[in-house]
Amino acid sequence: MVGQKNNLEFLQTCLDAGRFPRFLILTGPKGSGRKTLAKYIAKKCLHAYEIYPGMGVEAVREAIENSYRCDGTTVYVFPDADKMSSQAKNALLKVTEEPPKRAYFIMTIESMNNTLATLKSRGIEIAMEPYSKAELVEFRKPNNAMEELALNIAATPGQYLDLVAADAEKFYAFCEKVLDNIAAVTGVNAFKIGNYFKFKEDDEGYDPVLFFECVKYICAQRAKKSNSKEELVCLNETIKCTNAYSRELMMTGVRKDSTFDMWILAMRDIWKELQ
Amino acid sequence: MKLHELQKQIVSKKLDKVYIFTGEEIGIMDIYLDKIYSVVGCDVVRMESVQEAYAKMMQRRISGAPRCFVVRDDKEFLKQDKIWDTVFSLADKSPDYLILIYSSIDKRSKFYKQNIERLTEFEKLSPELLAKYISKELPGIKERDAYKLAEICECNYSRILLECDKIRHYAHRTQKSNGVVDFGKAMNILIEQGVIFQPIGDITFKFTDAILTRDYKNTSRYLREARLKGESEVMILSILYNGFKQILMVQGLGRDQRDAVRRTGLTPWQVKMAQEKQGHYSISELIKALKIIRFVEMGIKTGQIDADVSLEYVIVNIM
Repeated sequence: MVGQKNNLEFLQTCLDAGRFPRFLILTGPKGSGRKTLAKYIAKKCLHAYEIYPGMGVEAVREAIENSYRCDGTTVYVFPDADKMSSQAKNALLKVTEEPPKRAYFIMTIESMNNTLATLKSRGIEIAMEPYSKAELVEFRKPNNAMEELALNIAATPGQYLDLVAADAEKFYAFCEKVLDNIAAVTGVNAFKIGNYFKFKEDDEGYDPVLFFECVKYICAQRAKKSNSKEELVCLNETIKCTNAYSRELMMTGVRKDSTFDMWILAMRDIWKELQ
Repeated sequence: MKLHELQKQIVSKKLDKVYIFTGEEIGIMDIYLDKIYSVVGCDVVRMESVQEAYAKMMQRRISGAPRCFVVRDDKEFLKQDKIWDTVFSLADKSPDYLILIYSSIDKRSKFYKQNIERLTEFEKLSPELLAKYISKELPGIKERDAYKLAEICECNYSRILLECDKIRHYAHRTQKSNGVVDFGKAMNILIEQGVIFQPIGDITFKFTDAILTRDYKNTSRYLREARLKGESEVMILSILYNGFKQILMVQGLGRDQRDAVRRTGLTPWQVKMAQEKQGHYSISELIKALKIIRFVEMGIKTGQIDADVSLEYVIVNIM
């Protein structure tokens, strides 16, 4: 377990006070270590069994039924619960309100917007903390220049691994090319950029979240070197705008391809001025 | 067993001991059942399951009079392939009759394949045949009107009989002083008044096409119909977004739209559709439309915009 200092301190305080939350909602982007933290809580904090019941309403109901009969301390983990149906989430309402004696529930989601308000109010949210470079090095030490670049771009351990797998240098070059040409190419070609990304499960292509992370890194690097005030403004706007769309990408139910289209339009508006 | 074979059996009064009926056309099925009951001339016993009927058939009665067991939708029996032969052979030998009725049977299932000889399907009748039935029910109705009624009733015989009753009743109440009854006119009035419900067809694409082509005249009508049909706002917005984006990409090519499929990355069908609809909005209006739809879609998802007013909002701001 790397990082998450404040979160671990909070959990320890709860343990010491004998008031460990029975229902935790771990929020953070994919690859931010939510599942690792859930495992850590089960093993190290609660010394409990972990059970992963599944997402379907039947599986959730079965887990709830079993939770009233469990002998030892048991942690029921619902990873990536953004995709959980409303029925399944509703099924959890009662048990999270008054959990059985030895049962704990942990749900991991990308954004708090992806769950029911009624469920939110029953749980304690633990937002995954950002990782420092030192923490990412602790997670995995880079062995070459490509891995060093991946380490610099990545915001989470998962992204770091994804970038290494996708060849960070090649990916960086692609992102740079997109950013350089986004205002220069015709509108038709700008929208065609979306074809390189994976927006649905069965699509093939780059992860848009990773792309946004790389764009922010490129802008930050360029801002360090830039002497032009106008360019600095554009770079700053790009980072702000990319951040906002990156958050929208995490919301379930919102079309990822339209989020990306909006980012393209916003980028063209920002960089058109400089052209 | 084909329907005409069943007809022959009924006419010749040589009935089988086991029948399996399936299909949507319950009205026609009921007519055949009534005919069978009258030919058999015995008690009709409705049972919950085939197993119960089997047990009853096994019990000998003092009177010895045959009975007709009718079992509806015993889904469990469809899975019990080992007992099909036992049950059917007992019924074949017994003085009793067994009629199994299923609303639907999977044509790929073992039950369907193995018992196809005993099975009669009551499919919807053709509009031509139904138009003839309608002409019998409503003498003097024009062929065109009879076809129209068959189509409105989605070729559902029971519903046709029901609507014929309404038309007959209304036509007789409003008949002219010379005693002439105009069933066609009565039918059209009842359709207009909504007494005969006319199902709304595929309205989503008509509605989105009306917006994409700036068809003010039809947009509000289609919106009302889409609401009546209960179409999902999010789905309509999604289709609308794709439509505007495709038009934007095709229209963005300018006058020279050669090789549009390669240049836009769209499919040939999408390009064709976009080419048909382009030109009603300027490029900046198309971009504005995309932003508005996206804003509304996000608003619905985040609870900031009520889905009930979302389509009106889009129409007002885009068109």
